[in-house]
Amino acid sequence: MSGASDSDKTQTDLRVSARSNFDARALLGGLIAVALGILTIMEGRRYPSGSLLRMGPGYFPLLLGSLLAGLGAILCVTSFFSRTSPRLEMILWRPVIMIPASILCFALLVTPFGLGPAVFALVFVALLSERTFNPRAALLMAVGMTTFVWIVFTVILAMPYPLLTW
Amino acid sequence: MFEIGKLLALGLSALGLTCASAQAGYPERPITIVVPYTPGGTVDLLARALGREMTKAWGSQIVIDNRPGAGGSAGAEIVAKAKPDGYTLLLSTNSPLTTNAALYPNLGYDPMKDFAPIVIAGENSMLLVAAKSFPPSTVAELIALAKQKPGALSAGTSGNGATTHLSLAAFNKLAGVDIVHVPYKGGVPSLTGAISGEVQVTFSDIVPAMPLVRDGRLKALGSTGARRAGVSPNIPTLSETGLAGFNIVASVPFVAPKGTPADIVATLNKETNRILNDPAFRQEIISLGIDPIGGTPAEAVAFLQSELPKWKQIVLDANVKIE
Amino acid sequence: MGLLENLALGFGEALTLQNLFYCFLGVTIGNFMGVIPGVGAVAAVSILLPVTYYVPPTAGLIMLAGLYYGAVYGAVTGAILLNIPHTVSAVECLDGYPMAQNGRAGVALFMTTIASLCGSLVGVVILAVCAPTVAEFALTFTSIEYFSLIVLGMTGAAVLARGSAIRSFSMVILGMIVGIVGTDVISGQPRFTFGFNHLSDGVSVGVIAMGLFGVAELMGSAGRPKPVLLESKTITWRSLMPTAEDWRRSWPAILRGVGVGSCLGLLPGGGAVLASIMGYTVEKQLARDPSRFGKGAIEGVVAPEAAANAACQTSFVPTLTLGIPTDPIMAVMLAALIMKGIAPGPSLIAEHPDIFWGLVASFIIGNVLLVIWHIPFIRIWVQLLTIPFHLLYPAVIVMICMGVYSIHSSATDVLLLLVFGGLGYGMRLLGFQPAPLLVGLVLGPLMEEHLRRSLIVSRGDFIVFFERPISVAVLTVSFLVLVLTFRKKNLPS
Repeated sequence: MSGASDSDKTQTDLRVSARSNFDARALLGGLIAVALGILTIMEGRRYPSGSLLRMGPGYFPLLLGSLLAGLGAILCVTSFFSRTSPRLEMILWRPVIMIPASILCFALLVTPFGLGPAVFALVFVALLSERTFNPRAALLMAVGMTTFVWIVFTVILAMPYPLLTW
Repeated sequence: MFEIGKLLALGLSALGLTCASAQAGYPERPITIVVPYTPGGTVDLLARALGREMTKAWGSQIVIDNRPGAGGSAGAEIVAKAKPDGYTLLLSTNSPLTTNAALYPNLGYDPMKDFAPIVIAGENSMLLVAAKSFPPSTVAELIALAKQKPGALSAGTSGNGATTHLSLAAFNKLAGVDIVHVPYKGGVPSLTGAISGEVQVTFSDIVPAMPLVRDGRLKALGSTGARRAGVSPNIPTLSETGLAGFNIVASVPFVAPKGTPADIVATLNKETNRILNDPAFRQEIISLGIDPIGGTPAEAVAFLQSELPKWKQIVLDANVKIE
Repeated sequence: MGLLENLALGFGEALTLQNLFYCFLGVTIGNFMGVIPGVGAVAAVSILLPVTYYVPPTAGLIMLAGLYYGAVYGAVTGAILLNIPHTVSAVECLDGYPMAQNGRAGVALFMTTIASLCGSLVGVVILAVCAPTVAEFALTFTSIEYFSLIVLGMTGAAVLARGSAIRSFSMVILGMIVGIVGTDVISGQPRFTFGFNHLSDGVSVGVIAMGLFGVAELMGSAGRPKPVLLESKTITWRSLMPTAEDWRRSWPAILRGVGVGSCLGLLPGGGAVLASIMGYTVEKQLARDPSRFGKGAIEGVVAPEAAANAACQTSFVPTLTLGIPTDPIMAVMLAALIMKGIAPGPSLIAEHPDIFWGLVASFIIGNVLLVIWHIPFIRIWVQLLTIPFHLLYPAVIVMICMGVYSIHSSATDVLLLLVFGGLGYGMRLLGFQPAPLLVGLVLGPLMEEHLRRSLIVSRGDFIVFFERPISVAVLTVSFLVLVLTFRKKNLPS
């Protein structure tokens, strides 16, 4: 297995070992798949399923939900006999929280207040992912990106989004 | 003082700044026309042509905002709930204002109470087409064949609950036949279905079907309106050729949210009527498959009120249910 | 009239100053928008459609077409350098980004430029030579043939996947489940919309792709002391040049990609996306050592690129000669034509030879322009890698958000982006690949639609799938591919 040759340090390190191991990632993934499969079946039951020859709108959801739950179950079982011993990648909490938070800022601000505040907040919050956060540089970057977005989307492409509204 | 305020407003709008609270001569800032369909469709092209002419007349920008979803009702809901200041308008087919009320249990708006109709911009007929090799070449022959082999024929439409589907349902009911409905994802695939022989006939919008009819891949059995369509004056109506009384057309209402000031509705009505009466513009939209109508806001209200029960009945007859 | 005469007419039309200008404008803006993550070909073409109202039909069409293939061309740059996929270039990420990580971005960009030029030129020749006859054949296809072809595509997805078959199959199924969201084509029933009207048209592929690849990648790599993008060194002119080994590996792959892409572009519903996926699948299947794929195999970069560009050109065959668009972009083009009072159809070439042949000639000119844009300026694109990551990633998030927001002017789409970003990050932590999910998402709804329509038309008879020769042939090929893959995957272990 040459998968370990990935030079990227952030990628998962897979080590091959001779005896079987317990793979926590596969178990967790399998459990989530089972849960999603069951949720799909529950939602799918709301629609008429028909029969194999006369499929209703609920037929495929039930079929796919069952397949996903089944595959998840197989993953759970095989996770106890894994031949690889995977290591979880180290989670950096700052970007994992700040990147989604920055997108959330954009989503919440863009309709009521316009592109300017949305892009400004997005860039500023996204830069909080950096351990070495520099407020002055972040401010500069946020102003720069806002100007860029205004020129490209409002001026050049004439998209119907105001820079600032209230 | 007023001049300064106007200059300031101009300057702000040039900067892309807008302030929703400003009110003066209409229109003083860009008007948004919501089209509840994807770009490139008939209504979208009509809206863009209309917007172009309005911009020419008013100098104010007209923004076309495509908001597809739920058979047009997603966009209609946005307009129903928009500020009634004349800057957010809806141009759509009649579906979100009529048929969808019968199709969807939770529309999110009331098609009658939440809008102030401006004008009925136009109407468009559909076409019943068949593959060239299909033996019947008139509606009468088609009905005879359908009666001879019940349940054996299939008809393509642009989708379940679409106007083309409701045309088929009305056709089945009036002719007393049982042609099986085969829905496609949009009009063009349903025409391909007729060419490949997957379905024997298809109900389609006229414009996409015309080139195929002209080249002899398909033959037209008739148009669905009471009058021949402006875009295809040589094709007879279904009612002319064997199915008397058949009349199904979609209309294109232009509406504002309820509560929009009457003078703004009147301004929009006047301008739209002026554009609809321009010969070059008429020719342009006829080539899109829309026959211009026009009229007063009161006529538009009366028209929509008469259409709602009619479409509701067709939906009931077609037995289409969307939960 | 002979072909040469027609081409002479076309070049006469395309080389007028006005048409040349619009061709240049189209490919340049298209290329730029393709490179910007989150804009993409559909948005580029839709945004500039209004411009065509003010120019003559030939010029307008030349510009829109230029936007399309320019954006497809540009998208690959984002895939290779930033691992940000557009729908067309999703598979380019699989080997293009690893090549960039190995410091071979320049080679990847150079070779994809060559591949797209080859793909486009062959595509144009096919468009010019066999437009009428080939399209006639594709017209006989019914849902039965489409279903069989989609089964083949799904089989390809299973072969394409890296790592454990169970994991990738789960991802395909999960993608198909996400594809359920929206209005069921057959019954008109909104499914899995949870009461939101907004979801009744489904979640756009763009939102999901941006979330799973773009946002998830940023969540994993932003703020790292040694970000991925910084590891590539500045590339010298010499390192742009492919080695003899690269050439030896690439040219057969390009030829195969061109073949696959040309054929898939002709099918209504095929288009550039399926072409690039199939181009990749074919390479992985034919490779002596499939394990190289996903780690920077040059065949996996050039073949999909050649296929996508060939498909871009050949998909004009059904669009122009039959009036049947192959994808949403072609639908927008048709709208522009109809707006100008020109009826697309078999009579178009006869009635408007200036438009058809002018367009053909403009494709040749436009693609040469794109090469001129890319090869001398390739270093500008590579320079993107040397920008400090903390300057790049806020810009990328802004572009992703703007791209997603401008699809439907909807902040809800941006929230959905967030959901899929979180899902993608979770999958990444647990070792699941997002690519098979996208394949399931794109092909799943089509598969369901065509299967159910076939059964309505056959009145519930499964035999039909084994009665039509093309369907039988395609299903047999899918079955053989599946069997061979399982044998191959099982043997080494």
